[in-house]
Amino acid sequence: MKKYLVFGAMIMILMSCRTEPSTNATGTTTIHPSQLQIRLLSEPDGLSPILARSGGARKIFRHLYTRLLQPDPVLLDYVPYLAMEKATVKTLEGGKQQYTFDIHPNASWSDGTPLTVNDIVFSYKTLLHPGVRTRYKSIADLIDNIELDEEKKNQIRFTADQCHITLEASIGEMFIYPEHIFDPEKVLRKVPYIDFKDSEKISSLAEKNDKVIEVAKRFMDPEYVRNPSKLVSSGPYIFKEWITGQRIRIQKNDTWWAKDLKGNIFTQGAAEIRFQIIPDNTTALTQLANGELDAMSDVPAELFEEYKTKENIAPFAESGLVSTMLILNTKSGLLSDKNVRQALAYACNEKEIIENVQHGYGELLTGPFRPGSKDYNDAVKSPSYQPEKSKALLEQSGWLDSDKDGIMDKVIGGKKINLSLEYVISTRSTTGALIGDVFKNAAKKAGIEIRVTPKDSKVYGAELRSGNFDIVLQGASSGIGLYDPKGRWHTSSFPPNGINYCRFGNEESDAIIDQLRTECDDPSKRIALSHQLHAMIADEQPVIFLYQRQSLHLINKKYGNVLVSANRPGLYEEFLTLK
Amino acid sequence: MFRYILLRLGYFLITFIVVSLVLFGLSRLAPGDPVDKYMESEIVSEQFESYTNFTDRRQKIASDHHLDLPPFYLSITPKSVPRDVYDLVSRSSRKWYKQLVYKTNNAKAAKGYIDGLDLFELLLSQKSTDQFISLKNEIARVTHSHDIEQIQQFGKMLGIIQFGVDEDLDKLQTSVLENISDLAQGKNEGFHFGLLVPKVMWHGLKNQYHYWLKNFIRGDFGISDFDRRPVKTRIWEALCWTLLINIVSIFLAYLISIPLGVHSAYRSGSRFDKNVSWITMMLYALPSFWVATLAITFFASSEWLHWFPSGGLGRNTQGSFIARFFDIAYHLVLPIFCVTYLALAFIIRQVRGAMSQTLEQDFIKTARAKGLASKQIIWRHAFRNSLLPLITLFSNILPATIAGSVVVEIIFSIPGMGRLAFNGILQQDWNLVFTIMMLATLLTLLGTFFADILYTRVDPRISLSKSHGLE
Repeated sequence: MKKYLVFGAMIMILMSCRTEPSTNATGTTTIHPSQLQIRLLSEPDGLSPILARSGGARKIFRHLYTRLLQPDPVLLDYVPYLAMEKATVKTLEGGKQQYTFDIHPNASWSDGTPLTVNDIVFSYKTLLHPGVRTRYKSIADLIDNIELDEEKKNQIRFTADQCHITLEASIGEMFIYPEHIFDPEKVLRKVPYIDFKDSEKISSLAEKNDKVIEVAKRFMDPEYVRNPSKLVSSGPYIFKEWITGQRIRIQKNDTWWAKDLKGNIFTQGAAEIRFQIIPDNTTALTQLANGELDAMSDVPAELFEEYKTKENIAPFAESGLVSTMLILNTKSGLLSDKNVRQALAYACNEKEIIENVQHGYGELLTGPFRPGSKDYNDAVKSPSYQPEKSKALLEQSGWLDSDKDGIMDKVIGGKKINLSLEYVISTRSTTGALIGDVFKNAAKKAGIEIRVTPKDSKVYGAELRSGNFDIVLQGASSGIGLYDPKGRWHTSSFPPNGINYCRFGNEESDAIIDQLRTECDDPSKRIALSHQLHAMIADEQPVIFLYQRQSLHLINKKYGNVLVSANRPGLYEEFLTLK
Repeated sequence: MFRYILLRLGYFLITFIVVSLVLFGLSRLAPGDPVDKYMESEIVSEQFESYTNFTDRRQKIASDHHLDLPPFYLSITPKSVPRDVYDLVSRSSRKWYKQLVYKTNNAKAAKGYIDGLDLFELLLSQKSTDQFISLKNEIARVTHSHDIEQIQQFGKMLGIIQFGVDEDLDKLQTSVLENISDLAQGKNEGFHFGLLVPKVMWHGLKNQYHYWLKNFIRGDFGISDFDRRPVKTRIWEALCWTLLINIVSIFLAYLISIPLGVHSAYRSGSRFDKNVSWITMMLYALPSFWVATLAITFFASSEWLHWFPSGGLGRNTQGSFIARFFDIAYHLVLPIFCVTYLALAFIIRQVRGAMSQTLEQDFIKTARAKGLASKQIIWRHAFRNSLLPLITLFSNILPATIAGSVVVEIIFSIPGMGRLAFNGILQQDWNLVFTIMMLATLLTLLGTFFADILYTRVDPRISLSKSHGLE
């Protein structure tokens, strides 16, 4: 009798442990795992969305925080999340634009406190608070004012001085913070948002009012983003545990206010997700193969190739939004000549780089806009590898191989100069070194010598800013929304305050960018301007776009319903179900 | 003895200060401007930032981290370099200023020129006509240049631009051209003897080193730049694991190596001795990163012997203390092995060498002749006399207990001191790195001090009061 009781108990325990049955929209039952082990490459520096700088932090905090709009991983567009619908846009006097959102009235925090429009206002004020050090202050730059409605308690209105193509997405993407945690005395409520826009005024206020400073101190205090008792969530998961150097654990939020809403972004998956911090790739892959890990994202291409055929591992590759390019110095040195830059582009074998470095997991691109989007000019073709054409362009600028050493040369200032260019990579970049090998060999056939030079990132960063370089390898990531080219392609973004390191731009391109980024009414005009800019960049060749790399993921075969999106973080683990 | 201790404390203090100066100096010599590091962490790359915001932000960051202060109490420069060089926040700008002064001996013109170019950047930043864009590019070309001819060329180009109704730009143009003219005149005057005359600039207590040292002495090790947590907290969390691994490893290493080394020395030339020798040589030659990777591949992988986990410190956080203890112990078997084998190989060689020498001494022959048992001869007489090298080894191990093994910790995903220090250096998290290095210095000094005390206990011939000319 005892045996049967024990056996029965074991069956019950087994049945309760592993399965989280739920019914999806079609009425069929999906089984979410009770626990998922996901790899993190490095320890995050915190779980505060506007303070965290590490990539791993985003993988976690997106489960904990809410925002007005959320990128849909399948539709690749922003959809309403905390907002009930997308913004109602109204043009006010003087061309000002007003964006109005109504938020869900039942939104709440995991401690039961209602999530209200005051939390949204608080979050934006925090962005502009002088005591808060964040990378995202420029989100609030575009917003002139934020107002609440006296009667409609769940309505919030944002006003901007003019329309801007990324404004709605910028407003919508801001993660919302709990006012009752960071500002329990509601000190910032007494300071109008407009005052926060005046940096002198707010700095002066912050210096005189200790309570205003206290809010920032609390906000910047790492305890508030590492201590589960202080980090309240409004998302599908609750933060449960952070063991330094080892793992971060989150658990399903059973009181999540959006549980019953329909849509991809309202998916709640495994009962518990553990993000294991495993810096070494070999160790992580061994654990994945052993079944100790369930999923691993952003796998290096060579390891992806090696492990994708392992018995219990399923590979997934998806177009990503991270592009790799060579920044050229258009204003000094040998590359200040457009013919030389174009010749270099024809001497660079992007296809071979994709094959050899990325093992085929990359796509060609020719401009800064997202491939596949309407703003991307498909008529602009990638300069394919044509060393003879490259030589012809060089000859147009007076370069010849006068000494028959295989390297083009020219007399400049009475001195014979070889066409030798320094290609700088980070000392820690193995991809950069591999690209350098392919690039060097390909360019040699066109008579161009490429000297691969690894440098510390601080050193070449300084050289980029001072314009003291030839070619530097860089990566750039973009989002799913419309692309604002001002940050990288406008002349007001020349270093030191911007990243237009190649110093591309003139009056015409600036005018196109200024017009493009405010062209909200007529998408066809915006698209035409984008295409024009794209073509200009391709013609000037300040940058050689190498590829847009695919994001590579390895998942344990026991899971199905795998969703890998072009949008960060790539793998959406909440969709995983047991087969 | 008291005099010895006093003298030792004096050495401690001097060593501490010298190490702190070296560390601080090295951090300042590290490539890159530290202000840029903080700047980069506060801006998302593709977002536009105005020049005004940028410069204000830069000034605030420099001020918050005391990077707008001179690095040390004093600096020795040529007489012609003025004090206001430290008004410039950027390291490269300070260097540029000094170089212009060396060449022209006109600090006022050099500063005026640098400030003028900075103001041009500000006024032109939002202007998008081709003429102004060209000017911006030319300004970028001469920024940080101390080639006076190049600056004069720039002056010629600047001189022909008409700024029209823009009075600010017009006035600025006049001012910068005057500065360029003064710089050229200064250069034409030739060599300046002011360059040969050194000057000591005293900066008082308002310097970067003083702020850091003052806080350090008070026990305030600062905040980590990485995650804004106190450095103390980060070190303590990592230290626990490193101490655990290293103490167990040292204990095992000594436990195994001493008997093996002693026996090997006693049976010198035998098959046992030869086997031990070649095994230790082989172990010593194997790099730890390779052994660690092989250990994971062969002992922690389902494709071979899946006897141990491949990393981490266990996933059993909810269970009882005993359950967690065994879970952690199980996870530490391979990492401890990887740390121990090297120490084992080294210590066996040392013990064998010391014992072999001692066993050849006359007093051992006398002991044998007296009919003492072998065990007594080895452990009571010979071993004691061979302890000195072991004590020296042990004193070196003390700082190593907190250093941790970077390779083993990264491969086995253990959040120890090695990984912490390594990441701290890569991230240029100087508060963290300084504290770890200073702790290591302290332990090294303590280790040598304890070694000296132990020497006197082990060998009565050694006296601290007679050595090193104290009498």
